[in-house]
Amino acid sequence: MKTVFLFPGQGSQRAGMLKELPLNDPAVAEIFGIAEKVLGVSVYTLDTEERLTSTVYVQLCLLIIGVVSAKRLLAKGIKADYVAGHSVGAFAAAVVAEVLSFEQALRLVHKRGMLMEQAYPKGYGMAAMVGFSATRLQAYIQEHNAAHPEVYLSNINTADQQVVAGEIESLNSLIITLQKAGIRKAQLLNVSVPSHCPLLDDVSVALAKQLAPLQLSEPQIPYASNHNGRLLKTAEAIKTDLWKSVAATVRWYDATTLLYELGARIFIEMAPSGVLSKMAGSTFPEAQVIELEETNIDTVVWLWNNYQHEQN
Amino acid sequence: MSGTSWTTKRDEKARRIKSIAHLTTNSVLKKENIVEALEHLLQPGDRVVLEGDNQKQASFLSESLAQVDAKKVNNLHMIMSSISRPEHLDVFEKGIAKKIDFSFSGPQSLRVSQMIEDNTLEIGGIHTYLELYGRLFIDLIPNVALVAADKADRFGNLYTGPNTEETPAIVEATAFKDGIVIVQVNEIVDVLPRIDIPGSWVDFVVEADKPYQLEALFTRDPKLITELHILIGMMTIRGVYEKHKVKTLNHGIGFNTAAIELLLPTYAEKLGLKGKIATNWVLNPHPTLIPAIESGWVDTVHCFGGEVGMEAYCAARPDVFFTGKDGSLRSNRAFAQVAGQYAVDMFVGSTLQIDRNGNSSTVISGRLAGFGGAPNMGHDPRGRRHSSEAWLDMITTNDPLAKGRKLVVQTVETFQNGNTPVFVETLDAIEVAKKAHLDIAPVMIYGDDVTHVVTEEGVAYIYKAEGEEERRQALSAIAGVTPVGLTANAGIIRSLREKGVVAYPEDLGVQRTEAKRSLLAAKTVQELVEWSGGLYNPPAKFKNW
Repeated sequence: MKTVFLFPGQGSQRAGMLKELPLNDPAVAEIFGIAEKVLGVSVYTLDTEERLTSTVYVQLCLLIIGVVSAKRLLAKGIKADYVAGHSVGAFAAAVVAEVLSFEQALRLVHKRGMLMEQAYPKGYGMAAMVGFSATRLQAYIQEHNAAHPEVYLSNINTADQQVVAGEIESLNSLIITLQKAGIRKAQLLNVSVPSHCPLLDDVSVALAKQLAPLQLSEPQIPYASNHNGRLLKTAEAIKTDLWKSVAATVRWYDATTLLYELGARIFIEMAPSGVLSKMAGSTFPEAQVIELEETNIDTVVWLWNNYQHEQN
Repeated sequence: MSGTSWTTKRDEKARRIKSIAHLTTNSVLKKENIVEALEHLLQPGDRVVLEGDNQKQASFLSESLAQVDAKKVNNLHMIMSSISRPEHLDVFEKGIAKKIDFSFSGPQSLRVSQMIEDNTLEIGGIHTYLELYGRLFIDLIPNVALVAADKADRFGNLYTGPNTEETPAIVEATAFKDGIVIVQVNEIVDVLPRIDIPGSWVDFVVEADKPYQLEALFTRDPKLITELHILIGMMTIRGVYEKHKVKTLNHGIGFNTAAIELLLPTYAEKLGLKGKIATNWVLNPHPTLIPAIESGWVDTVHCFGGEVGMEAYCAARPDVFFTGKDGSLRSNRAFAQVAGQYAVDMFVGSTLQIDRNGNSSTVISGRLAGFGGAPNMGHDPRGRRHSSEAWLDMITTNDPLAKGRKLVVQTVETFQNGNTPVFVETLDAIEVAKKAHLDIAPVMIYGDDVTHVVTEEGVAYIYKAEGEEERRQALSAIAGVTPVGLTANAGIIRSLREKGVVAYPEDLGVQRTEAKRSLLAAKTVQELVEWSGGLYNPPAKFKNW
């Protein structure tokens, strides 16, 4: 029974999520210390309601809390056989796999956030679609694109949950088409950047430049990739995923299914948890899915040990 | 001619066996030496049949194979009916194996697709079970067989118990063509309950660190049977079993057929059909068949494999099941597949997609799953002649040479979960075939083999349809509000119903309102246990009371 650490991406953030972390925990103190040194501000200024309207701060907070969550679990003796991060969550996953140092990740994610924020200031966004398979949705998108500004399949999250990115007017008209076709849910998300599609090609190239000179280490834990849904076992491959995925479809359904086929049966979602747990729960009804919240770390450790025991 | 050796294979086998003399006592290998032994017994490029179907897995041997040094053993050509376990594919990532012929890969279907795309794995073919077993005797003759049994004695005699499955077929093809047969067993004992495979067919036995993996694949919890399944079941009983007097049959694994099994002692009994339909079966020991057996509906059942928890029940019903002198079930996948293809009136199964011509597949959205027994049993063997009432009832011409045909029935709901239509314009299998560079699209059952399709809307008797156009119209008429169903035209439907090419519930005397769960002979796993008089012992995950 293998264990995966899941690292959430944008959409999972909550105001005050860093403030909830106990400073007397050595993992928290260590990571906060590094973050404050690199960013030059107190971490408590990062997770305010106001700051979290900017993707830069959202991404930084998710990186910090993702790494802290994993370090706390590892310190308690929980072993991860695989890591998988959704979108920006991939940077925390790469830190936990020991490919990137936390300092490197902070600088990269900061840059990534800035580039994304500047890329499409207005009129673009993303929409969530629930109820169709990706193949079926793709057919509608193709037809739609013949007559409208192009939109793109940006996330394939489960068998019937996807996200589409592009110009808002065009997304709205696709939504109407899909509703007529009987889709269960199709709605715009409160996101201003059309991520994970060719509209962010420039961001992706800039990130690649940023990553190129970095000295990375070989992963200690295999890492499930966003852009091609493969299991990656080399620093070079993970580096490529980190810059490519910002402008490529997130193949989360494939990535997590692959881990399941490889024997993963315990999925632990790092804080702030919920989104990825729901996806894993619906995709793998026979797996154990655990949500880590800041208050329940001992429960998580107890559950994990119990599942290990059950198997033997 | 002088100088030609006619014993090269035999000599090579003797050489390999001699090379591990230091590791063996008679035919017994110690588990700690298995990896070293495999490194000597296997040679690069060997054809290796690794036992693993959808139920039973030679798991200790597959894990051991994944540990051999790829510098010594590489480029193996694997032959397996099912790709089920992670290490089945790890051997390709490590370069130990290169090519594979198989039937089913459901539990590893995404990884198989990815590895084909990445050129880590080369596919020989995706076969029906019988083609795969048959080819073991033609052009896929194994150099080495890695199989699993319950017990062995120190002479290498094997007891495979209720889960004999495909072990005899694999061992026969290997042993009698100078291949090497290596068997993992749960324990080595002095006296076996019975001998399923004689020791002279076996080269080595090794006691594994834990029992071989065995899945309870054919257990369907009656709690999950819906009123839609029941309605489809009622129509299938009236519109197919009763109408054509089907006595011999195979059922697939789905909830539709589980519902039918549980409707026999109740709904079908009330119709007075006992003894007239569904008497002789080729089927795994489905727990949902217990009430029908206990009510005297079932004369005989021959099994492909066993089913976890059904051992004591089968042993206690030797009039129904095939059992050995020791009393326990004897299964045989190869013979059961032959029987299911060639000796029964009807196959009834389910699928995930059906196109306008009745072709169906469970291969969807980029996952290369392959199939279990359905392609084999779900087709009409053209040369077969068979004079059962059901077969003769399929004759639609006055041709004096007409010979009837196999009944191949698909029972599906028009939509899968999540609003995904089952009836589609084009099967995903075509796209999957392109991506995976397959010569043949992975179709499970071909449209021209299908005789009936049953949905919650009605029954399409497509064997009666005249021409492709009428066939499509018949399918549209029962495809509900799927895109295919929406093309149906009321006038055409009326004429199809008059001609008996399509039947709706009212045409069959089935009341939609009667389709209630109270009709099921057992509504929970616990009730199945009660029906069995406590002989059925379900696996823990089904014990939810």
